[in-house]
Amino acid sequence: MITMSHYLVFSALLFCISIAGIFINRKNILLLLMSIELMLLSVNTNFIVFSHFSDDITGQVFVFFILAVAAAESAIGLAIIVSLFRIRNSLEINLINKLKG
Amino acid sequence: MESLVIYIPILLILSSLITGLSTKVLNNLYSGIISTFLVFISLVVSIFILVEIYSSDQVIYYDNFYDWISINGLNIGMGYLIDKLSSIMLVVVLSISTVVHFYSIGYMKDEKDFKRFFSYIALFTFSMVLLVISNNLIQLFIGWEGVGLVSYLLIGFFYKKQSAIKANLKAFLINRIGDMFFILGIAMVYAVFDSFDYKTIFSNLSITDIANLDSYFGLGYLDFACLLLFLGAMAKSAQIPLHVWLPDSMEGPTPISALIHAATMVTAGIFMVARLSPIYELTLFTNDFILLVGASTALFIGVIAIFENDIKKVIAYSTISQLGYMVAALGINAYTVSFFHLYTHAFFKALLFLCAGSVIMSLHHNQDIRKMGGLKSKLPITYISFMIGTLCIIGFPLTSGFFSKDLILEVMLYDNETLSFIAYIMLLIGALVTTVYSIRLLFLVFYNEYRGEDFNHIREQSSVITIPLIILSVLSLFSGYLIEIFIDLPIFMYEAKDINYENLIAFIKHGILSPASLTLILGFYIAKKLYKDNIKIKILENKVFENVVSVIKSKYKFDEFFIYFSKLLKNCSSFSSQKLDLGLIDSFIVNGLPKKINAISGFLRNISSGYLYHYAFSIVFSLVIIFGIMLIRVS
Amino acid sequence: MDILTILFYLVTSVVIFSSMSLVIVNNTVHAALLLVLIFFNSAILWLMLNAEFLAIVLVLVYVGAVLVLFLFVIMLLDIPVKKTTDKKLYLLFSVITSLIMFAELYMIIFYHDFSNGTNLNSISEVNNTYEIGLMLFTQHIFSFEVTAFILLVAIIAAIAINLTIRERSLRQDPGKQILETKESRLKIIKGEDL
Repeated sequence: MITMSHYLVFSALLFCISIAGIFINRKNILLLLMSIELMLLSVNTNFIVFSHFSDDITGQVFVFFILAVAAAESAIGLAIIVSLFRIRNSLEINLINKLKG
Repeated sequence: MESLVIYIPILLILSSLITGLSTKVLNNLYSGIISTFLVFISLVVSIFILVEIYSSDQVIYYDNFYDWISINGLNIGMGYLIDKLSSIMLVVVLSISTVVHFYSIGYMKDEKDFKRFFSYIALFTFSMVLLVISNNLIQLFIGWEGVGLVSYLLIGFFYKKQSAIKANLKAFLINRIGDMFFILGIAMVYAVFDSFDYKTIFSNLSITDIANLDSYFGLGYLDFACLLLFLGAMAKSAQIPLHVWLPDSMEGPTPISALIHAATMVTAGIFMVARLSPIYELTLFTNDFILLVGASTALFIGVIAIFENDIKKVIAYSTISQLGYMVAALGINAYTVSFFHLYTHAFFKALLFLCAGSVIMSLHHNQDIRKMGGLKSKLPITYISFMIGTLCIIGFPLTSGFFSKDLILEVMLYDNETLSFIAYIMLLIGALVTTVYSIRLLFLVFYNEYRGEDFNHIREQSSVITIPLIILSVLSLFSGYLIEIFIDLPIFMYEAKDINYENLIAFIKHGILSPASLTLILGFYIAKKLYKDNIKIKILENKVFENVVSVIKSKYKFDEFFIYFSKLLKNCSSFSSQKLDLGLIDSFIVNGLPKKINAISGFLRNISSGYLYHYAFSIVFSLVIIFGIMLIRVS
Repeated sequence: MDILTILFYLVTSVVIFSSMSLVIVNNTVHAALLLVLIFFNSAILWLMLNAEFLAIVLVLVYVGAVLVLFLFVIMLLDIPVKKTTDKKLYLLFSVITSLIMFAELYMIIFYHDFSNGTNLNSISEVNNTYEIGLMLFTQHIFSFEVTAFILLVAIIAAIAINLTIRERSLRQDPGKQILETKESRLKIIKGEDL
């Protein structure tokens, strides 16, 4: 029998993997963006799980919004990446350290 | 009449400005004459005021003719309070000043800085008048500082002379010590009475209030305030141990020594105490302190004069000694007596100084009495004046010094306290010492053979020099007969001192029969044997005696003490500048802190590496820590 | 063990493993394709949770639009595939950190004891899409409009960011300026060469 905690553990695991992905990845900023998508997915899963098990549709409405915002975010993110690539001719994260103090 | 008072300082400051600023407009002689004339007018005005005060027997009080500072209930203004005390002081100051002005025209005639000199002495007289007529402590302090400043300027008048510069600096620094105490004393008085005004202070004064006042360092508030004020007066009036500046101040021109460092400025301390006598009346410890300081100054500093060889310094030491008499009299609350001595002393000491100046001029600025002698025939007027001055200072019967000094001894004897009896003995010995050094000076300068060079060219100075000597001689001889004015001088007292005075004749009879006459004869005998007949006494060549003399000749090592003290301070300050300021504050706090901050921030800069994954890692890591804390708290 | 349980474990294991390989993989095209796989599987998972509408939206909108956009960008930029040659110490650190985080999340989940929540399987009278639509257009109408606006802004922003500046314009190109070095501008010539 699949209980709620099964789903929660799954999404926690997914979340942790994607977090690890953010800082394991040093070569490609696109992969970073994908890790963020993955994180969003795990969060969305959590929402749906809670919505399902507490029998409340609001959680799913929220996921809908998150999907919309995430789509917008990834669109802008990709646009930034494209212009970054145009400037620097590379997407390597370990070459981007303009913020160094 | 009331409005006349204000003209005195105005005339004097005008005189100072005219002589000081008219560089090429007036020649030296005219500026001197103008200055002297203006001072003379002020003298006439002050005599008018004195007569007015004595005839109407009232006090001229003007609250405030100029608002100086007015902050939230604290009003400091310029005003004047003319009673018998200040009117007499005014006349004394202005008459001596007039004489000295006149004398200076002759004495300073060859000086390049003639006008500067006159400007200074007019400024001095102005400050002194401001001090005397003041009706509040702040104005007194302004005058006090003013005379101190002019004293500094005039001691260093010959500013190209190394010793003069050192002496004026010394005078200024020593006076600064006193002034610090003085201003603390003023603050203390303000703390007690909530006012600087004499009138308010005296009217708020009552014995019951004083008894209820808190104590401070074991002294009553009032006692403490008076002690501080007296410490200020000690520097100005050259009392042990702050007397060291006065002998050195003889570097200044001789008229200055007469005016400032003998007759007027140094008596400012005495005047101040007499002016604040209603407060001093109530103190316990301070009175004893004043008495002891005065008596020891009178005796011990007088002894130095016996072994001094500079004619001006001998007179300077005698000045300190005589000031000691006045202070001692203040110590037993005999303010009138003290003030009487101040008054007579002013004349005869100015006379002595001016005579010394005349001698010095005649000998072409030789001040060493070992190279003088036998001047009696060459300088007759100076000789007679000097003789009169000497007779006054030793208290020869019927001269002014006789009245005032005898009165002090008399009062001291009848005070009926152990301490005042000790002081009486000291003052009596002091009188002996005074006689010895004064007669010694007279003999060494005017008797026997001349020991210097060029005897034939010595001649009496012009009448500009001698007329003041004659005037002062007359004043010195007869000023003592005004004793009755002083006996009923209305200086406020709770218990009036029992002054044994019935009438003049009785007083003179009594004075001649007192022990003071004995000291006079004894002192004269000793001085004659030692310095006229040049008899060598066996005892004086004794080893022990020589040691004592060497201690006295070293002026009791007061200078060394001050040098040691200042070295100590210098070490302290060099410690604080090297170790505390440079070491701690500069290199540790001021420069060290930024260095540390720089190092820390240099270290912290590494944290903001600019790499995205570092930031992400730190966010996640802190998230992990926060989760951990939450878990621990929950479980 | 019923079919749903088997399906759950199957789907979750696929998602976990493919996300792990997404994290590690170097080739971005592979990564994008793995993401497609993950999204598909997640859609199955969401279906199991009775969220049909969102599952379909995930597949259609996310996979169909966003991930295709990703692929477009990847191919557009033509990024060369590089092997990571960095030190592996940071890998260890990040793995440890995420493991600790997982442990903490796991503890939170079991501390609150969510295992009690059983699958209600309550089939409502109206279907899922209808319900969401009802919520969206009644209670959350304002948020819905705002979302639309956000999407509009995103479109405009994406265009504005990448709007190519016309050539021949005198405007300075900050990117080029940054990339300029001393050597590319200055040429030091010896005197005799003149």
